[in-house]
Amino acid sequence: MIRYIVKRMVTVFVVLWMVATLTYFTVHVTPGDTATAILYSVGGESAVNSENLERIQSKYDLDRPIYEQYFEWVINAFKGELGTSYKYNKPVFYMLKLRVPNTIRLGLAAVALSVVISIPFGIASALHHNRFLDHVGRIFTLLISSFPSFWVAIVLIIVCALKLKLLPVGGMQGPQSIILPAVTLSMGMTAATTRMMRSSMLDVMSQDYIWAARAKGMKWNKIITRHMLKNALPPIITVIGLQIGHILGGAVIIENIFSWPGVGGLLIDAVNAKDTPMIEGCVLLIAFGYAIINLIVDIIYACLDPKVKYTGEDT
Amino acid sequence: MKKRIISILLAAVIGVSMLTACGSETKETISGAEGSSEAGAENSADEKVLRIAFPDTLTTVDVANVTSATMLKEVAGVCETLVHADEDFTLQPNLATEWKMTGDNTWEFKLREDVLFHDGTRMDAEAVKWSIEWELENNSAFAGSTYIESVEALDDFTVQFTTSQKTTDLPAALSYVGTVIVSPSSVNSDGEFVTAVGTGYYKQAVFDEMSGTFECVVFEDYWQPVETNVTRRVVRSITDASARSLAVQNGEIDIASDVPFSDLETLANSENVQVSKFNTARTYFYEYNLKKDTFQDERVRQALIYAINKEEIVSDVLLGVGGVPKGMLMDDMPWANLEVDTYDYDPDQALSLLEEAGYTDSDNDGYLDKDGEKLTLKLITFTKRPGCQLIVQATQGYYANIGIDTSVEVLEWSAMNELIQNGDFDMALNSAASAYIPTPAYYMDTYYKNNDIGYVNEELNSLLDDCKATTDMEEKYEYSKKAQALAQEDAAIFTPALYGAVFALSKDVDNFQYNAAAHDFIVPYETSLK
Amino acid sequence: MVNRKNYILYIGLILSALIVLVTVFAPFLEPYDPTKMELSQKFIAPCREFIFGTDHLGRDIFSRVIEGSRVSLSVAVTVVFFSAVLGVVLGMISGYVGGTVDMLIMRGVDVLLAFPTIIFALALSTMLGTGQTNLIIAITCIQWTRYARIARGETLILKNAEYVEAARSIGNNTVQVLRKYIFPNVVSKIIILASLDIGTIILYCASLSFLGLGAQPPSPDWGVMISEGKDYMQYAPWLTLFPGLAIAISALAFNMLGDGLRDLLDPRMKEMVRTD
Repeated sequence: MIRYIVKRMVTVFVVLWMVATLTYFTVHVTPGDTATAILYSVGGESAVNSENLERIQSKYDLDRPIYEQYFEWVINAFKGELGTSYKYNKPVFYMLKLRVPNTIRLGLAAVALSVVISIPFGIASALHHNRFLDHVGRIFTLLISSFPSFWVAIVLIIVCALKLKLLPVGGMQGPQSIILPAVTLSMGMTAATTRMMRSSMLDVMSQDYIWAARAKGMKWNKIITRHMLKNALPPIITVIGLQIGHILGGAVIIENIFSWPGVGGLLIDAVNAKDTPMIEGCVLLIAFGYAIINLIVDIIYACLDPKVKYTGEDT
Repeated sequence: MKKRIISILLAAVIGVSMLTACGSETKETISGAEGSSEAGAENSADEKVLRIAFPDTLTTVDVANVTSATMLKEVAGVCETLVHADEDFTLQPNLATEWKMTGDNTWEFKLREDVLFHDGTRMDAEAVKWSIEWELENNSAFAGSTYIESVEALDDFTVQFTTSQKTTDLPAALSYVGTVIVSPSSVNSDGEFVTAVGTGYYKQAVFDEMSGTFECVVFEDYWQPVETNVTRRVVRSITDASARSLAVQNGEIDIASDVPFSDLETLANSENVQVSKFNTARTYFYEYNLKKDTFQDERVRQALIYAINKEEIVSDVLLGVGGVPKGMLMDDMPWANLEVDTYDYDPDQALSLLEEAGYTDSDNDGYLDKDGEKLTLKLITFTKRPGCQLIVQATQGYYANIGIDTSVEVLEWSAMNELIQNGDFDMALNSAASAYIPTPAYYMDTYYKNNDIGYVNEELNSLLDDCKATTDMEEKYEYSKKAQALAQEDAAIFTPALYGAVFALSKDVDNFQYNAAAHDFIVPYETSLK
Repeated sequence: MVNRKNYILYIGLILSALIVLVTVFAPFLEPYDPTKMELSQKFIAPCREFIFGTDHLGRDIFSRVIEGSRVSLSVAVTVVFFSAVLGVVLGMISGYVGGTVDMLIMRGVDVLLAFPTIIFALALSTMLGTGQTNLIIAITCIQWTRYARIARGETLILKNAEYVEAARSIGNNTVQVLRKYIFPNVVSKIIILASLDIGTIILYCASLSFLGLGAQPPSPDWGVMISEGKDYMQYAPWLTLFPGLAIAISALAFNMLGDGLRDLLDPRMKEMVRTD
């Protein structure tokens, strides 16, 4: 087990390093362009003139070859120093540290909401297999996964915040601010998890030992809780893990629309301002988070189902 | 057994996450000069809180950060500059009382002696020196925008500035938000800027870094008398235009700037929102790529301006938010020359000029061509100002009407800048604050003289130099007006529309005046709540 | 036979076919020129003359939505096609040959799967720039990994089957074995993934266009329409309403198609296929 974890961690670091390299050279800009981007972030277009450009180029030592800058960045990254954001003029790591808890909060809220809805719904769907409730469920999940989340967000804001005056428009001002973003974010995951729960339950329901228990006279309730759930849940874990990636991606847009101060919003602002250090930092962080979550998911799954090999093979 | 543990763990995780999600938010305050306010808790009869939406993300109170300085000076009213530009762009003494140029590169400024910082200490020459040096060191845009090289304290209330080049515009530069004066106590023992200890009517109470919310309360010992009933201001970052508007409609915010243009109609009859539009000193301007042969011919450049219906752009595309330019700049500027040719909408004139230049529809395909090649223009603009995309699309429409094929690219500003420098465009729509430094030469100096499009007019450049060299205001205006006339004749850069802003205010807001000389928007001290 | 079991497949099939027809016959279905600006008729609410109303530049929204289907669908199909081709080829090679090649390709897959598509596309756009072609490239660069995984998985199972051994023993080389024996069995899963993917890609493109990467004005891309109409939400909600519905219906159609196909071809196939 330990060996498995260690092996996976090594893979994670290798992958992260490759991700970092890919991102670095992807967002690399010419020295003149970097200087322009910094100045624009600092003071708008009025700040971009030749004198300021010269000062910036020498201050940040931008004339060095890209490889030199890259190696310096990698070494610093390992030390935890991810550079300074052009736009905010603060350490990238500091900004990320500030914003990460918010994204985690939002993500967890979305996951919790999704799980709370999808598991009972999925079970009910399975139990009423091919009857009315099941069909309703299938249509429902198909619908939810088809609507673009940013559109739903806009509609919800108008309806809930404005017309009904129930909820705030955005920002993070109290517990009620998290509701709309979490609901919108959880949509895709709810759909996928419900379907998975249903299909997993159906698999379990068709097993012989369930019928054996029924024949012995056990009540349905007990059968569900004692036997079915335990066996139906493991695949859900994997789906949840996969969906968290979707949530991280979706959070980027949702945070932007709801002005939720998280990492996603930071990334979009950074892309718009061509704030290269911040872009790199955000991407690295998100990749890292995703990798860790997948690792945890895989470990939990391995614990639950010893038939899974520890070599890291994908199914 | 293992499975049970796992399922318990899972349940615990879900439970915890739901708790954290529903738990109350704790504000991390950076400095607590005054206590923080739990929203609503203190909004009793004796507290009047003015809530303002700021269109940028607030991450710091460091005055070397221009966004932060803009918020501190203009929106919160916590910091001030030595000089102040009022609505008609004349410079007024503020923290400084008088100034004179003492040498080719030196200026002397005398300071007010009765100004106190929020920490109780007196503002003196040493403090001014400290502020300017801090900003010079930490604000990358400072030196190039102000030309300040160094500053010395000659005595307790006299400061000497040394500039890197001879400039008559230093006083104007000292109204720029980046030059606000703060006390050295703003910086803690680790050298970090933690509190904006300024001289304004309001002093910093709370800064919540995570949510970008800034609060300030009245400073009793402010150096001028002020009439307002507001006791506290709260500034919140809301970057999305419609979100700002919704926040006012929802009752969460009292003042929001740059809300969507259509709000003028939607909220016109609203009970709890007053919406008003203002003309700003900012312009939209088109630049031609003069490195291309197409634009060497003056007739082509003029024709393309005749083809655009500026009136319609302002009234229908910008929904009335903005102004039709009578020249290069906004009408109210004292140095604006309103008697220049603006090539007003005349599609027939456009077509005939183009024909003279050799562009006709010789193959009857509906598009103009010359020497067998179709006239195709690449229009580029940037994302930050919503009006830009609208104007460019409208331009596309007008050019399609007279048979010119166009393609559009909307990019982020520095990407657009890169295209301009590489000459990879035909026309670029940009936007600039024409009174960023409120002098008659600033705008043309920055965009007409120092340009990347290959535009050179020696006569224009020398007029601008003369304008900058003289200290006499009337002379400055004269030179500037002549320069504007020349530039308009050249038609290498032109203003299709003047930038307007729409403000949404809650019905309770009183005494809000808009000052076009502001960098973004100023909430005057006198603004109060009914 | 349409029974209660596969109604989803049929609805999906009909809807998808309708959408494809709309895309093909778009020029005939559009009552107006989707890109012609006509300021005098801006912001007209839906009425008989303009079924979906007009937008801020006076353009007919119904025509734009129809034209937009061409944009969305062509991008989605292009992406899915190239992703599938690239992914299947690399996946089959990886699974069949094994060894270092397999490890290298899988590491590549891991790297690209290390973060959600949108993040990668965002980062890539700062390098490539805006525009539809770049969008296609950006998304394809990640999407092929989903196909590669499935293809590799199937290949791993199949390569030890008896008939494959037999094929090898009678002299087929690697390419022939892959082409004649392994590929046909991989195809069914790939088709299911592809049809589900079209819906997903339509949503990705809409999101990225909404953020400003991708199609440029005056292109009637649905995501761009929603982004442009967002600021007029209270004033003229039809600018965002109809493009949003169009996206939803298109995605729904292909999701139903893929779902139905999966039930038909491989009802026991785990939901894992939908690894997006």
